[in-house]
Amino acid sequence: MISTLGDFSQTKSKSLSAVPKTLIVASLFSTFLVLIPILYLIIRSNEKGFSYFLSLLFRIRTLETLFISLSLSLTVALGALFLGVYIASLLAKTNTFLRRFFIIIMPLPLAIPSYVIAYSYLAIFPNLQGFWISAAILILATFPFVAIPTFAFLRKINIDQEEVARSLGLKPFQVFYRIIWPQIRVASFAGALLSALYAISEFGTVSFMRLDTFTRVIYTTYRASFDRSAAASLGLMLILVSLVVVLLEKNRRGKISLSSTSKNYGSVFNIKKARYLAGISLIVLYFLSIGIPAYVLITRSFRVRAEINFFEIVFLTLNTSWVAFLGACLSVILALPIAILISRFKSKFAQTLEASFLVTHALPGVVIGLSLVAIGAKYLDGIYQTLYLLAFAYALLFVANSLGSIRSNLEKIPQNFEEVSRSLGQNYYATLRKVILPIATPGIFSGWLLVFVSAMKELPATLMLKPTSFETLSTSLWAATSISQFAQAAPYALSLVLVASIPSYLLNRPNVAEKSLISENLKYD
Amino acid sequence: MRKYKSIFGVILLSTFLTACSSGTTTSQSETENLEKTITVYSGRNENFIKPFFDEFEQNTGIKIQARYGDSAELAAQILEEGPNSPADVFLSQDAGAIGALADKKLLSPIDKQIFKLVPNKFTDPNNLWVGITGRARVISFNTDLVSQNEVPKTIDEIVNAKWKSKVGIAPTNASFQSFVTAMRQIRGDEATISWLKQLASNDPQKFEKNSQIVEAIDANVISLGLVNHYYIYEVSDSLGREINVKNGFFAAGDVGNLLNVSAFGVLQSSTNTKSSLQLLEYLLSEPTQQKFVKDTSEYSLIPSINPPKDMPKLVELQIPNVLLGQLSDVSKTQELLIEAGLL
Amino acid sequence: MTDIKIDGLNVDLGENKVLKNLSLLIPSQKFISVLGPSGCGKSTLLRSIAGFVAPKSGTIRFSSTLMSVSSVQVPPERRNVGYVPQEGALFPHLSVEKNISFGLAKSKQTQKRVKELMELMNLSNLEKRFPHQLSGGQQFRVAIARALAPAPNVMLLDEPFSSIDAQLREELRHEVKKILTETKTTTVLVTHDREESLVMSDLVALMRNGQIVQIGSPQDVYNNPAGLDMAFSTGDALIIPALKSEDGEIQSIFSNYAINKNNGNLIIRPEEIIISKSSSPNAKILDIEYFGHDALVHLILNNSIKISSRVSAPVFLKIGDEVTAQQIGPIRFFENKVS
Repeated sequence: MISTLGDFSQTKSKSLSAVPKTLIVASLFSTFLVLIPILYLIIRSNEKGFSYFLSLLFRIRTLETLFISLSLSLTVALGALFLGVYIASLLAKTNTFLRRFFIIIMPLPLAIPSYVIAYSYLAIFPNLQGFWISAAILILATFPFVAIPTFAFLRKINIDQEEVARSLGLKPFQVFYRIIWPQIRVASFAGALLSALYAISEFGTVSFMRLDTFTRVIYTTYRASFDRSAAASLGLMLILVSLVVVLLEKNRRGKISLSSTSKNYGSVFNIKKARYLAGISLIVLYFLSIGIPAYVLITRSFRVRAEINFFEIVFLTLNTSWVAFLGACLSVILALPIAILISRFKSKFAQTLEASFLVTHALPGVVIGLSLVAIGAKYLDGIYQTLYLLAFAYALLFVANSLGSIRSNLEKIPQNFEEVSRSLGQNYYATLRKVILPIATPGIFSGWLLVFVSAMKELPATLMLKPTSFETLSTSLWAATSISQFAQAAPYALSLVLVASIPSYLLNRPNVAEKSLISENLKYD
Repeated sequence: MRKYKSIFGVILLSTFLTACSSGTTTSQSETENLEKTITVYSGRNENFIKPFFDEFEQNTGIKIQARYGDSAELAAQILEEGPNSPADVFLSQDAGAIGALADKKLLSPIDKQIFKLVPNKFTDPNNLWVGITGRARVISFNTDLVSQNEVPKTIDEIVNAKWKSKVGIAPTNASFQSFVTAMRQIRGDEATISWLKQLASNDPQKFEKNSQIVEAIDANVISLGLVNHYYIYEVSDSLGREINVKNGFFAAGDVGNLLNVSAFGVLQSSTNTKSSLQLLEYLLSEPTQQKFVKDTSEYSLIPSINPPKDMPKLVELQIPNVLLGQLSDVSKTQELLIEAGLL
Repeated sequence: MTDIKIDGLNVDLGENKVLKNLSLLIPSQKFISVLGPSGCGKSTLLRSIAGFVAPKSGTIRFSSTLMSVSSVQVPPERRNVGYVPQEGALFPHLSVEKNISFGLAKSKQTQKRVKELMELMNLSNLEKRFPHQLSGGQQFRVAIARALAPAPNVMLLDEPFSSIDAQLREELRHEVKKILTETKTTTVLVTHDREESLVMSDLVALMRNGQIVQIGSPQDVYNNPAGLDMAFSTGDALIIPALKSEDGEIQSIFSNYAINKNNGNLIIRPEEIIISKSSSPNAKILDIEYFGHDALVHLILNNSIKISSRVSAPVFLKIGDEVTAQQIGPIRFFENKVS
């Protein structure tokens, strides 16, 4: 019998489980780009030698502020976790009063820069300061990072287990803790991680509230140290700290497993009288996080309404949106290869790469800004101080946001979709293009939106990298506040919040493919 | 899928159309005649300085592309950019930041003729930078809580128990750090750290910004504040009313009376030196200097020009003898502040 | 007209050796089911044929064209196989129409072909619907149609009926078999359901622990199991101790005299035990399981051995009845393995 070889010319991948080389190359390239700021920090801090670095590390002040930053980060993460899970649970699983309204406004706190929240509170209570206030404000600003994905997950876990548990006599809280929580834990922790990293890198609130965090030390060192090694060394320390935080989260994370054996999803508990109490708690929370800032901004803007140049504001809005748009697109492009590797190929290698994305998220904007200034001015003269480098800075700053969302959406797609597609004659890239990415589009869009909103609010890197006459809403806002024209700053702040509310609102809309993957059955019992 | 495409499309189209036409990339300026545009990195706030830039453009036809930021951060940026820096001119809020650039030899010397009216002590000894306006350190006080006589005459009085918890400082602020650096110059590090420690044990109230200090004085939260002279005007403007705060001055020659300057320098890497120097001439011209005094309440450094309202003349101010250019040694100052527990 | 020749296939998944030196010939146009318990490797076998898993060694040929040699293989998209996984895996973002035409190149024929398949699978008028709007049975049909659309040489079905309810299952089995026979497609069905396997297949391959242990027609494997294990794979079986003497005579509790030691076992199917009422009963009825069309009667024989008998309806027996149980049918003796 003559056996003829099949067509081996295309046999690049051994089997489906072997990763297409292009994806690996793309991931490595993305990781390299994301690591640029860290490379910069290493080079700069090396200038004075390792012993200098050590001496900086062991200074009392360094250790003190590191401790404060870590404590703040942990507190904010826990607070955002509790608050986010609480809110998501109320809205997804109970018939809380005003439920639908709160589902719509759930992500809105993301539209307000945290320093604007701080500024609003100071406007009403000038004596506020310190650790707990800072933590409270940061929790109020970042809980949507937890609430949004938790809410999405809660709508999808099936109720079979719940029903069994309840028939066995478990009370609702026990049902939550033993059945529901393990399934949503991953999503909630991922959100809490973003809050934690945000708290580490944040500068505006802590400086208003006069809290001495590590980031503040970095800022003041940059402002003083025209030799930037000290600041760079501190930046490196920050990386190490955030690495610890990231590893902690991976440890506690657990695995995603959405059991799909049943088609029944989404039971809603009737909490009877408590629904009004629950509704009130939500009103209070949202009043604190959105209501007060909105009030201050609106009243102050009203006071200076005669001076407001609407045309200027529209112009600034378009500028802000355009560069944020570019940044969001870039960040999705950076995140996609790694997200695919982690979620579709369960690649351990990619998971290690992922750490670098998360850790970069902890760097304050000033560090990323300066690293790109250094590289941009020296090697990338053509795009230095153009929108493209600025967009790239945004991508680096916020890629962690998009990565999480894209990855968790990709993970939900059943494993055998690729196999079926390939059996129907599509090679891996056609499969990605025709099947995987279209289904994951809602998650990709969410990730995109998160970066878009964050980029709109960004300040320090923008100041350094923007084209010289290019102004955004946040740079104009800053210009006004730096000469204590707080009232004049209000219209910019208000516009920023209003504009950022639009993508924030979009973050929570239910999406089409999700409807097909599960069929939603809201039942009252 | 369609929904996303249309949302994308709308955002994309509308922002692209307008942003595109707003001259957002530096490549546009590169195509113009080089000396017709200069790039200024300004540590001076946009709202204050822009009218001056606009007037300059009108007078000379030279366009100014201005980048605004914190003086020290801009200096750090220029240092990172090195010889590739797009900046022609650095306008610094204080002498320390520009001094750092001078130290790193990033500035080019300026012809003395242009700034001959400015006294030597307000310029760099090697002519690398020129002071434009003066910013006096003062001791602001609450007029209700503190009578004129009680105002401390020397900075050493500030650390008395009498003022415990009643003094406001802004340790992260460049002007405060300049002041401490000046103290180090005059008294030496030992004496300075000693004073700082005494201050620290007197429970000073720390603020991020000078304006916050003045607001706090006005609100009776504290009685005294170490700030720059023009903040009482700024805060009063911003609040839209009179405030209970006045500026006090220390005894003659006391380091507390430091006069810092906003300064002008031309970058070595600049290819537009002629136009840059024209800007300097404009800034030092009498009408402009008068405007500075009127609009920003800062001092003109040119002796013939009058001081801002309610402020003593420059010569009367009895400022200490300090080498302004050396106020760039801020990192050591920060170390001392840290050691004293103020930072 | 493709046959599948698998030779000495070794597949490891991580540390586990899943397929061990497996060889199998699947004749062209035949419907073969691979029957075995969970974990025996049958899905892996299917996926190796499809090209989703790379074997460590061994070959797979489709009609003498090599698909897989050692660890170099033709990728799945070039093997022209139709694959239907356990849950159908319809693409949720595409309509029924687009799902079915997914594997087809865009051409004028496509529309026609889709229509053809939809009629064939009883799916008319559902073109624009989306998977989440379909019933389980409809989803299944779409999955089959989608796999059939590119006219594959080989159809691979991975326990596709397991998420369909029982009634629908029979109907669908029938339809699927009919269509695959008509289109002359070589089919491999993987299942743990023995009824399904026997009903649908031309050939049954019994699989255990990564190897094929017996292969033959359904009748064949049912009536002539190659061992105790295989017997249980294909149906209920009773194991009765038996003694084989040197001259080949086999004695058991059913023969004339009792035995008190045994050197092997008989495998007896429950339908090979006849129950009658006689004057000398040898068994007592312990329990009766009714299946509607027949019943499984559990008895204790001579107060020592428990056996079962399959009795057609109508059933007039009751628990506690004393009856006579007799064995009919082939004697299948399996010697005890010397340990």
